[in-house]
Amino acid sequence: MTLRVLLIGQEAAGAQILRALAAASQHEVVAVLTQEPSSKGDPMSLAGVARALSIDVMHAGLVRETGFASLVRDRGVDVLLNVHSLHLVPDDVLEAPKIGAFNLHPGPLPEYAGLNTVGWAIYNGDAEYGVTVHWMVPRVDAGPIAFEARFPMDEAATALTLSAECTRRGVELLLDVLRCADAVPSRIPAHAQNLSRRRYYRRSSMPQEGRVDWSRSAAHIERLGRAFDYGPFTSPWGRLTTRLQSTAVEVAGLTRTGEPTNEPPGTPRLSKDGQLEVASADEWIRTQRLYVQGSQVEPSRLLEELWGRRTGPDAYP
Amino acid sequence: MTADTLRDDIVRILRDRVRVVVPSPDADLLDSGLLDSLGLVDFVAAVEREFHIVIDLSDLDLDDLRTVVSITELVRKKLS
Repeated sequence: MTLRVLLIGQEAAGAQILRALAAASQHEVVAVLTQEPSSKGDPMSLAGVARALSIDVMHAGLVRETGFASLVRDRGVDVLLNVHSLHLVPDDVLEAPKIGAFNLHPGPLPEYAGLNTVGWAIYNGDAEYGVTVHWMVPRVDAGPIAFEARFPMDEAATALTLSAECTRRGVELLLDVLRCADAVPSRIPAHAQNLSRRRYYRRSSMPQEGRVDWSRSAAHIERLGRAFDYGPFTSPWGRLTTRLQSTAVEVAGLTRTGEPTNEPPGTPRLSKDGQLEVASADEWIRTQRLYVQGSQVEPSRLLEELWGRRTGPDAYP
Repeated sequence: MTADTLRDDIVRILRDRVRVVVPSPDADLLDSGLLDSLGLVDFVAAVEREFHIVIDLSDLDLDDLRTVVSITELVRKKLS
């Protein structure tokens, strides 16, 4: 049968699932709701992909307007798919599709509910991560699990590469939902979450409030760096901050040097190739980029300004 | 490897691995939306495998990946 699908989404993941739906299924996407429905000149955005497929595009905020549930019913929507949209879907809309509403969550549930969970998992040093498609219920990320994939965490994963992995695997899970809905809807799995193990990560929270604590181990600081690393894109958490003397400095790209140190944590030095390295509890940490008041600065210039001396390896503090 | 050969290889990888057909070597792949974040990660991984180089995403500016011309220059520097 041809399922009628309503897609609410954004980011690359939304566009990916729409392209996959267009390429691999016989189902009809009756409309796409996205945060930026009018984006022009962006053929690979969700809105751009939808327009190329002659699919109606609407603003995602419409989902909260009175009468939207009626629209869902009027259009005969069988399945609502929510992909990385931040708009909360009201109860009456969740109940409007004939088969159900499903959310693609880029994290394993119930352990990683909420936002920016890829970064939190890297920061926490987990060996395994996952991606989940669950039935939507009024409580965010709390519905029964339809499909999930768990996989080992790459030790070098950054927030960007882990997000990409979740999207790749998540698209397949959503297609599984549609295959199941197409065959026998009543057999779509619905495994209740053990909500006693639920951890919810709020949008406003971030590891260590975004500040580097140089008294921690190098391994810990390196994980913090990867958790904030969406390079070359911007992290939703912004850049990590630290202080050198009394100057607030933003740092990006924290990597281990493997070189032990007994210097007090936070001690800076200039490497032979001109990068700033800072002492952690047990090892020198290398920084790739520094910013002061939003502008990138050269490490040697920054240290010279802070200490008023000539720059060079081992010249600081 | 000549610059033209390298550029042709980049165009081929974009086409075959991430299904991006490049309109011209100086077309903006990012602002045009031809390459999104997921595609970029896949593309960089494919370039690393093809040329046996390491490209640290966090050490890049978006401008390094904006056009086939800039990508070719990035890979050329890595190869040298």
